[in-house]
Amino acid sequence: MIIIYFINLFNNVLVWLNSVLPNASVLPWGIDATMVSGIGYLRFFTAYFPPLGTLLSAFALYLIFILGIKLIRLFPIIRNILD
Amino acid sequence: MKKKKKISQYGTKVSRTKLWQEFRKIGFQKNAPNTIKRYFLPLFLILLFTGFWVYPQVIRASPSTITTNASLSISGDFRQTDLTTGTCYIHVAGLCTDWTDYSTCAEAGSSSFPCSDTYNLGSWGNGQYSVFYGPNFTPSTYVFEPVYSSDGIWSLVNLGLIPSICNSQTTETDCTFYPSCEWSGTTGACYYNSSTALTIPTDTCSEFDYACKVKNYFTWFFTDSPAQIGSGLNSVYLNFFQMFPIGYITRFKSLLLDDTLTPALEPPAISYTPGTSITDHTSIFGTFTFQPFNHMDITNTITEDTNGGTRNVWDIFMPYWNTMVYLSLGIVILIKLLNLGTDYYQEQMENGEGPMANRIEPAPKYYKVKK
Repeated sequence: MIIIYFINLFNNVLVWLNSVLPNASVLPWGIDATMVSGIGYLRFFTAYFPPLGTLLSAFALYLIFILGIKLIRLFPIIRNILD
Repeated sequence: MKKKKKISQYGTKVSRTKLWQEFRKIGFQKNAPNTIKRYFLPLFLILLFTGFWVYPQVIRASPSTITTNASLSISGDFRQTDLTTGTCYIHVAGLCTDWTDYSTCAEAGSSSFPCSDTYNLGSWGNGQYSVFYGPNFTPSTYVFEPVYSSDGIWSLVNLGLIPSICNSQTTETDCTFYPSCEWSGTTGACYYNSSTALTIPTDTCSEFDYACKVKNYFTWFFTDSPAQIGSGLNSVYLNFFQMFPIGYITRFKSLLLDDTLTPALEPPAISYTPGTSITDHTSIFGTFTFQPFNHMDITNTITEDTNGGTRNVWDIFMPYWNTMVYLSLGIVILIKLLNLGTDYYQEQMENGEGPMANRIEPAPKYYKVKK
């Protein structure tokens, strides 16, 4: 009912924003292609030595956490809550 | 002497627009914080505007021939070229679990007709049907949905609102389908084979559009289903995490952690050119290239030393290792979130203690104190 209505309306705004904002599905400045080949090498090693894979995954999660925190801190409301 | 009015440290009041003044007069959101008034209220009004005004306009602008139970009539010459007698068969498949294998399709219906006749397929209800299959079967899909405009402001309604409320969640929006036919005991070609497309007229196609819009617009407020909510939330999730700049982090995460990326991540191919010591001689082998992943076995042949044990060394070791690593990560993230660990050094530096104390000068006091 009204829940679907609001979900769809919020979705509309996101769809509209996505049509206006730059395409963010591929990393810029050639980083994407570099990572695709580079991460492949790491996976090559982790196939031989799985503990390395866990370490890399944990590091990636930590990196994403840090980036995410830095990103959401851009919004003043969230920054106030966190600080 | 008249006391001077105290001025806030944040400066004088910012003059508001006429619109906001009007809102203040009627007491709208009077006690709400400024953030809500400035950001969420306009957003809410925009949402209301798009929902309650624009959408009915779209429906009102539709032709008057709105049918709530739309169907599609397909007729065509399905005869084969080299057979004018006998019985021809035609099958219509419904939804398939595997679109490349027609045997997984549910049959929506089949019919036989004299091969000398033109066959009228009849009417089919609104929905998704897939193929007409025969000896030269190539699976293909057609969906009874119109092509939505993705240009300009209408993308707000067309790409956002309509597909999300219609039951069909497919992204295929052609009105084109590819039939082929089957006949008993004889091989040959069809007039309409898998490479010949039949295009459904736009008018017929749009009936489904209007039916969908009208039906869903009025049933929104009375019907509800977890599937619809789930699908809507999924769209929101996808749209949010593909949005700039969050999309970059999503992609970054996918490249690092997602094993299901297609094409699969693999190191660059290794090229090798055999050399020769003979002057002016070229190796007949030339350069060959191979993917190391394709020629690699994982060394997991060490199994546990018990009778009938099948687990290898990594199966035994990895659960403990994973627990340790992710527990450590959790603790680190928790410390970071709670600002533990930084307070201690911060306090030391403020007191002029600790290893960093003599490396950082105290902040100069340049500000003047008003009397």
